[in-house]
Amino acid sequence: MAERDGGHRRPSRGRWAPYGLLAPGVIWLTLFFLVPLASLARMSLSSKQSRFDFVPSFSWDWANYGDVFSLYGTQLARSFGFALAATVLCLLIGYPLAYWVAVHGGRWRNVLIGLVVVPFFTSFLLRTISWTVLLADNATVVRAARGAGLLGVLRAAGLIDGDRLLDTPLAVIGGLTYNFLPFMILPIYVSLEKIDLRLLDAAADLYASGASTFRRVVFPLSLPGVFAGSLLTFIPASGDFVNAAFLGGTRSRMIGNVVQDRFLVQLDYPGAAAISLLLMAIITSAVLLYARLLGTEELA
Amino acid sequence: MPIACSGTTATTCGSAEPAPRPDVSGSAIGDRVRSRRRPRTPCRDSTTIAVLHFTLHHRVHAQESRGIDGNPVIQFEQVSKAFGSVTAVHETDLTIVEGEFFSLLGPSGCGKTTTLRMIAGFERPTSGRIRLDGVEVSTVPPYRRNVNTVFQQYALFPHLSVFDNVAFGLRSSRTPAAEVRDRVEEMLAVVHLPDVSRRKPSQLSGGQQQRVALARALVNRPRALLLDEPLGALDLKLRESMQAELKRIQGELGSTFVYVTHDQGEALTMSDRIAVMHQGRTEQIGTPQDIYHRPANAFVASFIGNANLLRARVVERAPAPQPDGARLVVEVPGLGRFPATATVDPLPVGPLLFMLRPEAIVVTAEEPAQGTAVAVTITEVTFAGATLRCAGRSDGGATIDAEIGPTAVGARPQPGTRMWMSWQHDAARLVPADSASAEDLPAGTDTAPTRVSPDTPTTPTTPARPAGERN
Repeated sequence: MAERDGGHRRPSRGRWAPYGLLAPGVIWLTLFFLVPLASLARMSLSSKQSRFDFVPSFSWDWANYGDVFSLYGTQLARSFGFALAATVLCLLIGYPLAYWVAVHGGRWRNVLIGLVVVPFFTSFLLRTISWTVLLADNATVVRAARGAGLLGVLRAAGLIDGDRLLDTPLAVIGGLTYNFLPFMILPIYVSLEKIDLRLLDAAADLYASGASTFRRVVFPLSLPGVFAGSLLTFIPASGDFVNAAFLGGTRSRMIGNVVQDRFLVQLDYPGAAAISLLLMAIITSAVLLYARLLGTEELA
Repeated sequence: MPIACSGTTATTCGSAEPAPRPDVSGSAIGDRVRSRRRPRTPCRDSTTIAVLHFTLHHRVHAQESRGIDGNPVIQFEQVSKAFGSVTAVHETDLTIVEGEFFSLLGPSGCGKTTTLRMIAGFERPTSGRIRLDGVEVSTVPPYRRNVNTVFQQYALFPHLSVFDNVAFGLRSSRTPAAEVRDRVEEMLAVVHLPDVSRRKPSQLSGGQQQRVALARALVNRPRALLLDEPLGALDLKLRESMQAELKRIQGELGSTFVYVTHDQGEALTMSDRIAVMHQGRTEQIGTPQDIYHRPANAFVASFIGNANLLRARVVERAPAPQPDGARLVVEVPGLGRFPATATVDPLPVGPLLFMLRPEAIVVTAEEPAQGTAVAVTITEVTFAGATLRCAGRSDGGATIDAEIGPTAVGARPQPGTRMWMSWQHDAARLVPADSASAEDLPAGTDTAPTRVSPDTPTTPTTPARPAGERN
């Protein structure tokens, strides 16, 4: 009897078990992602009857989207510019570091790569606020830079305005770079670490010098890591508002600050919703374009 | 079947040129060479054994006439390599000539891969000089040496197509695109892989990847092709067909091959000459016949094929070479006194071992009229496919292993029966025990008859693997 029950139940359990594994994720994402997203989309097409109307009514009001470009085009462009600059900086700092640890780290590899994550033990907000102390006008860093004539160079390059670092675009880019650097290093390290070191011997055996080996073998094989790292850096950086809020001035407000301001200060829910959705759409297309350029499907 | 099996030759440690070989006598040993099995190596089937058998006989004449005269391509002059405090390769002299198939053979950790990596330029010698075509290259980086390597796990570039993999070296040396295309296609045809040039290495079978690796190295027309256990990752059948394939390609292109392997059967069938390495030292360099029939010491004797090795001492020396080649009479405790031929002349000071190949022994029920015979009690009989292996114990307590071929006539041995084991005089050899095996011999062997298991001296006890073999 028991045997027949077991025999009866097994196929049905086999059929449903995979979906069982999927269920928590599906429920979670439906409740906390799809439903809010739909309500966000609905909100972006709503309009307020008056300035003091708390609950905007749905009215297929596409004007919200038009407003985004006319009113906040500058912040939008600046966001992507800052995010791009931070991503490139992360790549320039992170790639050599990941490469060194992967190739020369030896038995210290795991310790070294663990150190990269250590800043995460402190809260993101706290770390960013600490930068305001670091970059304060009378702080050692700034005084040293001023003494070395570095501030003059940065001013000439248009990266800062006056005689200070805080409240400048440079400070925001620096903060973004600092905060997202581990997200660049880790995937690149993983992809470099997977490379069979004998491939380097093989390239040398086939007359490729060190530089040529890097260009023709190592870098192409690390592209999946570069791709993942860039996305993990660029996407959150372009929507970030914390760095701009604490480290930036009026000339370095990002789209994240606009969204925050619209939602929490001006209570303009439709406008904020429209900006958010537009940001998502732009990032998605940028990622697809990037994937196409790198030919990521072909890497495996 | 005239196999030159002279009594006085052995090429010992570090000497590149074999001593002149007085051709003294023919030998019957070769006729009975049927199996080259070693303990712990996977069983070879009867086909291989037959092929091996044929090759050994077949090659003799070519070998004797060729010798190693020729244009030296690779020369080692007192080359050594140490990794920290571990010496991977002790001072070695070596000459590899143009067009030769030269094997570096030895157990893992013996320094063969390090030797190969020094030729390729991945390791710099700690001392000594390496010459390539007469020019010293000891400190020249690998990408400026005109040798190419086939790596153990192929090391094909996974992101490049087969065509781009093969073209890699040519593009490094800035060969015009049209020439690259022609030469790559030509080489893919040589390795019988013309239709896969667009595919990625991961889409190929192991054997196909092996051929790509070969083409990628050979397309550069290197002065020497270095192969690091290239067939290790293939299954037995594929390995055998690739062995033949490698020989065919080497013959077609006339290139110099330096082949690293731990498989003595592979080295014997493929090589023109073999260097047997052990714990960083070259124990012997010679043709497969030299090494098989005239091992320089007990390590070589037991690493190449199977051997009965028994402690012995010389009781009588003939003043001049005897007609049958044997110049010595030795006493083997527990077995008796027999004529034997030394494999090394002069014999070094130190313990000596009496060597008999199991396949050189004939087992009969009656005492044979010819040769040397010992009465034994059969203790063990094992069926091994093409052959029957049996162990016999003499009245004195010594144990001898014999291998009986499928064409052997007479009674089949049964455990417990009394039978005769006999051999031709010139099958009996006297081999110097190398230091490693001498230590392994139990103390007090003067009184107690001792049988050195063929396994004992070969077990390498290298403390650390050289970095070159870390994978």
